Amino acid sequence: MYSTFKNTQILLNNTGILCTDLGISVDASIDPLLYAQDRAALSYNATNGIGGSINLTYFLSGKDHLKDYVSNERNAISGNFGGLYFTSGYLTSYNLNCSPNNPIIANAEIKFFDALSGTYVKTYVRSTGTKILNYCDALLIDPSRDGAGGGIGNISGISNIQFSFNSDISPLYLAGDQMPAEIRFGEKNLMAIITTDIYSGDLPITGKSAGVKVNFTHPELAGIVENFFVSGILFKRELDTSIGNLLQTKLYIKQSFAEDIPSISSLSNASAYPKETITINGTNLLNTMFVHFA
Amino acid sequence: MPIVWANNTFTLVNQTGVMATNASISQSNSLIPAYNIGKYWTVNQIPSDPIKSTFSLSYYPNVGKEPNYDILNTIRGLTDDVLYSGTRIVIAGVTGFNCYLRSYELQSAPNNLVKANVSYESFTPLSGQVSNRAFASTSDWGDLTVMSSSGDWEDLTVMSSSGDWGNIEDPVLENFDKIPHGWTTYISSSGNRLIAPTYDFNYKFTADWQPTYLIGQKFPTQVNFMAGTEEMSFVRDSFTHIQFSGEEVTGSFITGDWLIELFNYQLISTWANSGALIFDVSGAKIIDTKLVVDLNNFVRTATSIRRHY
Repeated sequence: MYSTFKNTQILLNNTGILCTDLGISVDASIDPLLYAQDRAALSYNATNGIGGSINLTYFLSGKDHLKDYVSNERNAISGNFGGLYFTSGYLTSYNLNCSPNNPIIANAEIKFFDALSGTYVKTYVRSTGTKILNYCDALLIDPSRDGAGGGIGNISGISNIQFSFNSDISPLYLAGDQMPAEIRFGEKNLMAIITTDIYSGDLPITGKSAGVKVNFTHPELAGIVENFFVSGILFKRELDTSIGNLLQTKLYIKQSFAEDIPSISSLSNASAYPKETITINGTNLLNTMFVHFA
Repeated sequence: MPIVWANNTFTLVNQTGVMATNASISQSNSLIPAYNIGKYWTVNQIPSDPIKSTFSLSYYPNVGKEPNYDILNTIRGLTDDVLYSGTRIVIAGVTGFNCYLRSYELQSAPNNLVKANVSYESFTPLSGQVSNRAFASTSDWGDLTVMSSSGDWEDLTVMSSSGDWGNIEDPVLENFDKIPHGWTTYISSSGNRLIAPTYDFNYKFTADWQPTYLIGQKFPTQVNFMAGTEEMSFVRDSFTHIQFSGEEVTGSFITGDWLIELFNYQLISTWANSGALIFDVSGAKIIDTKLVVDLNNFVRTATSIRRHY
């Protein structure tokens, strides 16, 4: 018997989310085993480990815990969908489309490299009156140093922002293992496409420093409940219009550094000699790839 | 709050009284149910679009003082539409600011007064409450331009001095002889009237206003006039063949430069031209035609012409 959308509780890291669309895909990479001069195969070989992906679209009602993985993508995410669960998921994409007067809806993709275990259990849970964030209560912040929009020019005419985060990850399998020994994290980038009313062709060959931040608030919730920002390089401008539409500029900003900015609070020895041990204390240092001393 | 009867209230368009037979305000938001996977019942009802208000009026136009016709002409002549901020409409004490003309319609039929229907859209909050008009004489209707704050509009009963209201005409006290009539509706060409027998005439203008919203704002930062369509239909007794590529209305349908003139009712008695609602149809093309034969009636054709702004 089929169940409906009402009967499938969704938990990520044991926390519920207000999901409106869900898609789970699990793939076994199977190739037919073909012998020379044969056109048909009677057996098949696995060519890769089992893996899957989940696509989620969900309302933001407060802090978005999935967004934390934009900067800390190396941490594994667990998921449970009506009793079917995985334990080693990694955020590979995250998108927000900021459109005026619309609810704040995020779209994310999580890839996992273990089997989807467990048994589906039909549930009956009633919704509660959760407050959902809306872009009409959002605040645009100008993070530029000049206070005049930086490369954007002026943030006061922004009518739409599409934020996207993409992370390239690949599993590393050892001979004889069905599960990856480790996950390799490749390039990741953030991009914002900003729709504004600044009509200009100003784009130097080196791009322009640009960024924008959106603070999400709710009139019945205290303070800023969530935010999203991109601070990088303006690398593309588009100017377009069509019959019955406004003349709009689209600004493309990309940011290749998507970590929480590290800071050093103290050094154990500021004048050490080679091969001496130095202890560095600070925040956001876990993803450090190299350290320069000068 | 006491009941407010229609005869004790008023309808104002751009500070001018309108002889309305029906007036309404419809305001709505765009709440949608927010369901989520795994739960029954909705999480909440959430806004998915802005608030919109629609003002609709049916009225007898007055050729001497027809505010909607003036607004129509303003819109048809708009160049920098961002500078146009709409008009103010008051119906029974409830005020809409920055109202944009969505449609304007006139119907002229033989032996009948001309009737008009008009609708406006507003994308900003309304003000005021249902209230009686508190003015006994036209002198109590002052100059609304001196009313600077929206709060001045909210409760008209508090307006005790005539100085607060300028020279607004009380439509009820207007003479009906300024209403155009089927008898005084003419299709004219170069000043010659009655050049073709026309039984019914309908005019409709529709405007496409596009509000632009910014992130973090509930109300539009600007409203643009994107396009307008003017459509007129005539009931006559000769059939017009439709051309594939359209046909200029000033071609074979009728020769010369066309104007539709709706004179006031007074014209019939005094033949003095003291004002008219005039519609220029130059550049319009014939878009459809219909022939109707009914029992006990003459054969009629209805031809529509259209032009775009």
